[in-house]
Amino acid sequence: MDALLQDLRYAIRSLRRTPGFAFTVVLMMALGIGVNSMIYSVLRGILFADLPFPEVDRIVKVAVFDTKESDRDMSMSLPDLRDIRDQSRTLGSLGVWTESSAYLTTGEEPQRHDATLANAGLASALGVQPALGRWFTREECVTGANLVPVVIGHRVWREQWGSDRNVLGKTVRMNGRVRTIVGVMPEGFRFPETSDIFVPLAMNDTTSSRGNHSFEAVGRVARGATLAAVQSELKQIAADLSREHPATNKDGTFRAKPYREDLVQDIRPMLVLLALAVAFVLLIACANVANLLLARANSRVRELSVRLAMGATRGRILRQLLTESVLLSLTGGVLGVLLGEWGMRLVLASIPVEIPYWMHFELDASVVAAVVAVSVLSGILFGLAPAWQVTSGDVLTPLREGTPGGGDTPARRRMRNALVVSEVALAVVLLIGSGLMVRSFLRMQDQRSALRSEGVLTSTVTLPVAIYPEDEQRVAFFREFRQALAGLPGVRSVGGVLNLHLGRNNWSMSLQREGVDDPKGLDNPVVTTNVITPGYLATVGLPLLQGRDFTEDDGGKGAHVVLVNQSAARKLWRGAEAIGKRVRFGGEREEWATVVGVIADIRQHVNAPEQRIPEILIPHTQFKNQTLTLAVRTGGDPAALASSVRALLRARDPNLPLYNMRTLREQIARSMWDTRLYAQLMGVFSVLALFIAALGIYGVMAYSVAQRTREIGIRMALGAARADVQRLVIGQATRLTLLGIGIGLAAAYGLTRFMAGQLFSIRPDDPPTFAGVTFLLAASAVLAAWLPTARAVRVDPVVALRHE
Amino acid sequence: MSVMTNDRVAPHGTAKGEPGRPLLRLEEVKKVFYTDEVETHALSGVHMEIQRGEYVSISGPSGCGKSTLLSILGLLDTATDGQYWLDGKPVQSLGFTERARIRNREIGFIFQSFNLIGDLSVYENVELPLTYRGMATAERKRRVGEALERVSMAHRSKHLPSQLSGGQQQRVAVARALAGDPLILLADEPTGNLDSTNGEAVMELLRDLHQQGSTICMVTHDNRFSKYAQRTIQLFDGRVVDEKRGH
Repeated sequence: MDALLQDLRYAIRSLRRTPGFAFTVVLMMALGIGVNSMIYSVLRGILFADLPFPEVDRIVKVAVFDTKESDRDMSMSLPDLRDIRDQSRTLGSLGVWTESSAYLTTGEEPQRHDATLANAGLASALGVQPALGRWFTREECVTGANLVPVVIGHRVWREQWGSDRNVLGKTVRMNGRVRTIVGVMPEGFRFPETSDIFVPLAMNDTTSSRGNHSFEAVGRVARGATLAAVQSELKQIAADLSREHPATNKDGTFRAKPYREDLVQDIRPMLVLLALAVAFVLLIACANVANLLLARANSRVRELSVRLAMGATRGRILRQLLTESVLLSLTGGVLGVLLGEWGMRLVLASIPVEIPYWMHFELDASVVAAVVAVSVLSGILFGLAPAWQVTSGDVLTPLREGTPGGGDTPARRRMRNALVVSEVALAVVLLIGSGLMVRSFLRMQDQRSALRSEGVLTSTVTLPVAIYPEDEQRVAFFREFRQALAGLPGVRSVGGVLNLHLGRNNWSMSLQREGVDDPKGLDNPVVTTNVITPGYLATVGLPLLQGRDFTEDDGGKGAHVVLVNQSAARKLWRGAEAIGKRVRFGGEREEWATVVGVIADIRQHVNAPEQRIPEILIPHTQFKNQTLTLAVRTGGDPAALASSVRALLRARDPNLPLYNMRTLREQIARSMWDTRLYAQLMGVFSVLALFIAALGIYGVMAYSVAQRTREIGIRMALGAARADVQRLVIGQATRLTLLGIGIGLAAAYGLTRFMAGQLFSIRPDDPPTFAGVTFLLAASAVLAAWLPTARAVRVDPVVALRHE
Repeated sequence: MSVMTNDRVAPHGTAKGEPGRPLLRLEEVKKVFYTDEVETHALSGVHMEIQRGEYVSISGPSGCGKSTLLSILGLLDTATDGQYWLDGKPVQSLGFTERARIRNREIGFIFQSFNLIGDLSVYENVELPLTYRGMATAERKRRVGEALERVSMAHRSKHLPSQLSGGQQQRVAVARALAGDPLILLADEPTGNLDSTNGEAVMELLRDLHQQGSTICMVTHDNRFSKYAQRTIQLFDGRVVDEKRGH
């Protein structure tokens, strides 16, 4: 114990005497450990989440995919799901749902909640039963059932009913209809992501078409059955349906995949990318720490030799160095863990949407332990390697005159240089990866300039079918409400839209072109579709390039019309004049609609791929849906309009909630939150990587100059000019950096292909990004080498020649 | 955990080791350095004995093998061939740990460039070899105090080496060598980094130590200082070519 304390005392003193070294090592480790604990904890919280379902591995997501179009899973139709439910023997139960909204009126103003329309089988498929009361019966999940039950989530039960255990049987006004509470779900359960209101889904709804793919499904694999058996059975059912219903099911087949896998499949690529990025940061930090430790150990060769000469055993020397390494690593580790915790909270706080119930983010002990272990191990390894060399080799030479602080061997020099080259190469890969993400985000953000988003307030209104059952009532309500909004002081224009442009929704429909497509054609074009009211284009500043906007007379009893964007015009009529052409949706009984105008290309979903850009817009009078987002343009501050808009709606109908009230700018920014967050994180990681790599170059150059002081003095004594010395030092830094950049560029070229799916409107080998990063790294290297160079040229030959 | 040891503590004025046989004996010791293509014979069959209480100087021109010989004597290096007995025990084939133990207990080193550890105070530098023995704190304190008294540096015990003159640093290095009460003091050019006044002072100190019973083996190329020794061994091309008895 005495010896250990002594080692500890020496270690503390030794580190205190080299605060720059100690601070740098601790900082590197803290940064490396911090970002890794943060990202890997998030990754664990998502990819390896503990889902609150018993035997979760038996739950599978059932989906349909088009064998001709893509491998991507799509939502299911209700008739197909009914057939699977009735025919499948390998699925013990089938849960079906679709997401919706619920407006609960328990106080003065209705509150909007995410809601799920679910069938009777959902609870048993998930293996979760209500904590109070019961789930729906199959009889309740039919159209026209007398009882209209609702199951509420634990949070709603607590917040709205104060956790009253007598809540069962109470009635609640929801979406204008009175429902009876029959169950309360257990704490922590929300499904599929944030919903905590559950209402029965009418599975007997025979009016629902096989072409209406709006439903999701999970099944619980029956005992004794395997996933392969489920797949094979689903394939058979799909084949049968394809024969029976070729118009809707011709190229579709069903498949099942583990529910856990389905939950994370969209987010996994980005998480893996972030995990790789922080692993790079850790590697760069470790390489830097290793370099610092190597340099320090080299400068301590004489001290270690003295200790050996005094009779210290190899074990004792190693223990002394180990104490220092562990002290540094643990300090870095503790700071890193704090940094990771703080970073994670910061990242989570910046997410503007509700996080799904099953994601739990805590700094994970096993993750932290693994990351700290990697860092400590690398510290120990590189800290002890030179000690091993010293204790195995010549002890006397470092003790003699003319060997200052020990000797630098070619092998150690090569090792240091190799570490710097690796740091630069890793930094190049990381910088290019993050450069692509940032440019991708900027491209996405550029879309904003296509709209005039300033001065616009948006908010959404949904008219419950129970209160507004007739189409005409809904059309009239929105027309009158728009007119009332237009009368508010300062309001310049008002318009309504189903899916706000540059948002998070994308609705597509197939259509028939007059004279081109077959009325029952199976291969009719599918385009992104939207519903707007007159005034929407002007309000959000969506440019009308040709023809005219909708008027209040369009649709309804007047002629049916549509607008198309440029891409749709090109896609549907191959460059021919679009105006005057006619299309129709949904079969021969529907009316033809004439194209009356062409608008600019603006994505409906902010991150939609190229093929989803073509869009067709239908006036609300022709597609009388119950939800519209209203956009109000004002000359002043749009946020100041909020209370007037709210008051106006309450005056018209106090049962209607107004939700998602934000300015258009906020709305668009919110749509891009994930891309922005990823770009920000990658940006932060790459700045860290650049900083650490530059520090590494600086460290090696500074050490090299210190080691070569005598040589520089000799060169200067022999007539070398300052420029010659500058060339000598900068040249060394440049060679190492260029080698690192070369390796990094080649690696990045190979690796960035894998992130193509995460990029928006940019190629993974984007030349400006590659060139920019090359320049940035080279400039950083020159800058990092500049200080040691300046020191080198100040060397006084007389002093240098006496230098030890 | 501190361990009490049963180190032999010789009273001042007596030479340690078993009487009646040489303290140190080399027989046909050779040292060959192999580099990529060249084989350098640093020592070519050296025979040598040092008696207890003797003060021996090894001298010769640069590259003659003085330092190699000293590093073999100090168990910092091993001979390629030949035999080496220290206090009657063969030490030629000992392992790393046993050699470290002997360096720590039986040999005291004094270097040309002092080789004090800059981070440690004078006291701690002198204490260093004792800490490697696991000696109890009180015993260490006593020994360090005595050693510093003997070189007249006790008043500087809290100073760092950088706060001392070269001569003072070498006196501290001597105290460090003495503190472990070794069988023999090995001094490698102990005056090489000192001016003549300080060099003389260190040589006087070594002579005093010898007169108090210490066995000393010193490498020097300075004839002025080799005269302080009782016997001078002259090396040339890795062989003992001459031996002179002094005072």
